[in-house]
Amino acid sequence: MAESLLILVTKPPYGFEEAFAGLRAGLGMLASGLVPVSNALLVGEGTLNAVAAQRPEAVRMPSNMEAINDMLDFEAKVYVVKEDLLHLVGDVPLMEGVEVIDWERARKVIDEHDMVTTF
Amino acid sequence: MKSKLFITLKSPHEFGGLELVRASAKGAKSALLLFEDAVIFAANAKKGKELLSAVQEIYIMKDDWEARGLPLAVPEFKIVDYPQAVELIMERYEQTITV
Amino acid sequence: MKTMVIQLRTGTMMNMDSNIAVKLAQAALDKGYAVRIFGYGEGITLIKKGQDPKRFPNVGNETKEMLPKGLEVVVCETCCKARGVARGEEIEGTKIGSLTNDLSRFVAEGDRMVTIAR
Repeated sequence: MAESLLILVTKPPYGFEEAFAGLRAGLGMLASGLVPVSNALLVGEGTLNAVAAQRPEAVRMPSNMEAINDMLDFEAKVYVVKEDLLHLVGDVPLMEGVEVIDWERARKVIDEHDMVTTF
Repeated sequence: MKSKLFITLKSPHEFGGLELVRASAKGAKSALLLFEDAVIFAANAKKGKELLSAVQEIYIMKDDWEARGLPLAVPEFKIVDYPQAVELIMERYEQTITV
Repeated sequence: MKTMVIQLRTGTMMNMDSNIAVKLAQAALDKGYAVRIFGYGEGITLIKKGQDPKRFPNVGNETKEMLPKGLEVVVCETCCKARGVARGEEIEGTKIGSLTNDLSRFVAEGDRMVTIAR
């Protein structure tokens, strides 16, 4: 009987449906009223979903930034692992509202959830 | 910390999740369960040992392993069937994380 | 009775992922667990009626055979629409449903989730 689902986003925002699908799945949990807690943890190339300067319209793709904002509107947390972002592209500005954390905290976030699903 | 069973279906060539496994498994009881071409790790001593440096146990699926006809290069890997895989998922570990 | 939730996101003929979902479901049912499969993204193809993969295992038929044994299968409607799969094209006993109504129920009732995806 799970009360919480962590959406672990490992895929980048473009070229894959995964990140969009994952954030939508998180929203589905929150909208359902059946799963009280659903948060997102962005790791590896998944951290790029929270980059502030994205312009998804340039490739006519839906906006994962919008999906992140929708999760934040539901008072869910969207965590971004700083080391992974730095390692990949350096210290680029991220969207407002996301919580930047290190792996020490990320391990606790994973532990705080009953189930984890990867996108 | 919750015990963690990582699952991967990716071949050594495709697999890029080692650092994610290492980072999230730290301090927890952990294992990796390999399906499909991920079992090829068992035939490659160097890459197999890399996986073993991140988790405590590694399990490979018997049918996927037998189908490929490869020699076992990492004797620490344990060969399991589907009922045993279900036991690992449902009883032995608290979380499953696909990588 | 504990419940295994399998989230399948790969299409039936892309690789062996759907075979793994089916074999895990079968083994879990045999051990007395309840099993729920949610098909998301390409995973919706699992419940398409009329699959005929010739020499490859027919995961549609294998899924259908498990339904009376305690398997529930739901796939994402938005994903079906995106791929031109309409209601009525699903294998009898499976359902075209949603994240909000069905995946959430599976999670709430589930003990473990296995994500079968790349």
